[in-house]
Amino acid sequence: MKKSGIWLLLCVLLISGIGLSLSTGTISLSVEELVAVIRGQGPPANQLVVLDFRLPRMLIAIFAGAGLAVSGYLFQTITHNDLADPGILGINAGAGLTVLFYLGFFTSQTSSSLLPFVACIGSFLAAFLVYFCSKQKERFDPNRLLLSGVAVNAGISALTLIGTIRISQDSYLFVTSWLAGTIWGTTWNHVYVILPWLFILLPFILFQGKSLEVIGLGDEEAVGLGVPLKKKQLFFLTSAVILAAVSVSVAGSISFIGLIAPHLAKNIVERKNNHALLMTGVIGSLLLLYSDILGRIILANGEMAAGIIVSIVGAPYFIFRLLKNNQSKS
Amino acid sequence: MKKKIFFLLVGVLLLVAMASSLKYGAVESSWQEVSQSLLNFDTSNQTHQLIYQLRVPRMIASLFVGAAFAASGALMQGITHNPIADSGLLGINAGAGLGLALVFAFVTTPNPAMTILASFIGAAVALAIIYAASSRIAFTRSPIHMVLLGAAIGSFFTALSQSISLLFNLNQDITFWFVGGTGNVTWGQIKIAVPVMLLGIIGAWLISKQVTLLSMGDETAISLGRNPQRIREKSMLCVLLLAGTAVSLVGTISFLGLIIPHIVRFFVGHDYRFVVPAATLFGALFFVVADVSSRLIAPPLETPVGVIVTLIGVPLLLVQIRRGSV
Repeated sequence: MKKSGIWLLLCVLLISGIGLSLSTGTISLSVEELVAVIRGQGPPANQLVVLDFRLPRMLIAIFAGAGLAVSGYLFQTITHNDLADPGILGINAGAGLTVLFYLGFFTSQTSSSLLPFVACIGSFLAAFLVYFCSKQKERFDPNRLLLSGVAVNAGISALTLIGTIRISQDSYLFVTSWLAGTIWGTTWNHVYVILPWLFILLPFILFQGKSLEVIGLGDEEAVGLGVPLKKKQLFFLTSAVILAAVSVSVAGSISFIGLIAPHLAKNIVERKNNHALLMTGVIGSLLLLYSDILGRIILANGEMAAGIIVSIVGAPYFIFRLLKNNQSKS
Repeated sequence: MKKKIFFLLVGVLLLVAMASSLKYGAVESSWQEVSQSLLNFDTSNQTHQLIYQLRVPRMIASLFVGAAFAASGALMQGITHNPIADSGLLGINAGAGLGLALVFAFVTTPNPAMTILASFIGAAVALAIIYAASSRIAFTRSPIHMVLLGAAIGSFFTALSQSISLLFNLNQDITFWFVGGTGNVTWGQIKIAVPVMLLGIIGAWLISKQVTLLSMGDETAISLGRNPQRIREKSMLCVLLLAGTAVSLVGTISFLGLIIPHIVRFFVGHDYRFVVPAATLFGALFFVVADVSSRLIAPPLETPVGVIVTLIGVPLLLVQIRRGSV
């Protein structure tokens, strides 16, 4: 009963979030006007604003939020570290760097459909570097993993800064707002870019949910229970990197969602039968959706990046977790 | 013997670096012009004006800022038993940056004293959080948790500063401290900041002997009749004076406080009586050189010096992690 109540609450939040996201902005719409637009009877200006600008933006927020959150869930489970998050592991920064180079040297089309692939390459390089630096004698220490993530992150950000000096003014503005985590993908093209990845990967991950659950118990236990550990780890890590990379490539560099959403979900439901995984995705969507709405309310021109709002909410939560975690261990 | 040579060598190189810092830049001037502008200043001479108004304050700023970040890094590494403590990694610089952002948001043309005070208060807030955490036993045992905490504090303060700069349209005014640069330093700032940093450096040198005791463990300090908590508090005050002021001058520079103490330990050993002064000198040298290179890498554009320091610092840190020495 309690569980279904929470799902109901999340659904209500999601639906009201969708409504809010479609109606707030420079031109704000009333419920009637919104309904009229959905029925296809609104004035052309409203039709244009809602269907061509706000609807794709809202979908991007929902998909990217879910992607980042699930990615964080996978990282945390595989590394057995509650503090793992694609942002901290340098994956956002890696995607950012290659996106910058691509836009700086190859094309200035920010709606290029190659962008997610480019972002993926950067993310994989960053992930590999972090993994390589933290690995010792065929095993890796989760804490060391995070530490090299912090270091790689700082290094890549510095490179990105150097890159931004060289590129044109337009690209510069784009990259800085991208790095702050503005949801810039506001066309349908961007939705088509992220959608297939989510639809291919999520069912696969859910299908493998059982082994993810077992790996979560511990590596030895997983091997003992007959899970081909190396193979599964590779699959989940690759999916996590891809999910983070495509999300970041359309929604900008957003940290902390991958950290908070799994924590909240795991506090609400147990990690059984994909419940926690699904809830993580929904909570991630909600976080990004509401951050984006909030950003638009604070600054009507939409320049207050959702990523900034997520950080302002997320960082104190992270600090709180960190202090609490340590207390219980000491 | 090794120590004496080290100090002597760094001292000589520092003088060379300081002189080059006055000579090279977007407009290169001759040695004669440099010496003339210092000894026989001619107000009608444009090159003299350039050297006196722009390069001299810039050189002094890099000198003291490098010393300040390195000394504060050394102190923090000593008192937290954390080999990777650094005011940038621990979020203290970001705290100072937030203070600056607030000042720029509410005062249109803040005077140097105000900016220094604000960045100070910001740094103090960040330091207070780190300090509260470091008194927990588990944190002193796990440097990695401390760095994660610092990263979180850093991104929180950075996000707040970003939103303030967006809300108040400050992008132009505060971008400089995001990247770190010495290009905008004025004599007015130098006159206030240098005495404060000097105070911090003297404090750091004086406390270094007690920090050595602390670095051997709290028990050692207690058995010799010292109060570990007092040593920490005094050192934190020095860190605050040093890092807070340095950020208000040149912005967020990470990794300088991390790498310099490691490098000097290689030459002078682990006794903080030598580590702190050596780090001060070597940090000054390193930063003056980095600042000169920032002008020479791609003239007439300046590559932000903070970026250069980070690009040198990160690989060194990664090598340490890979080796397992962290």
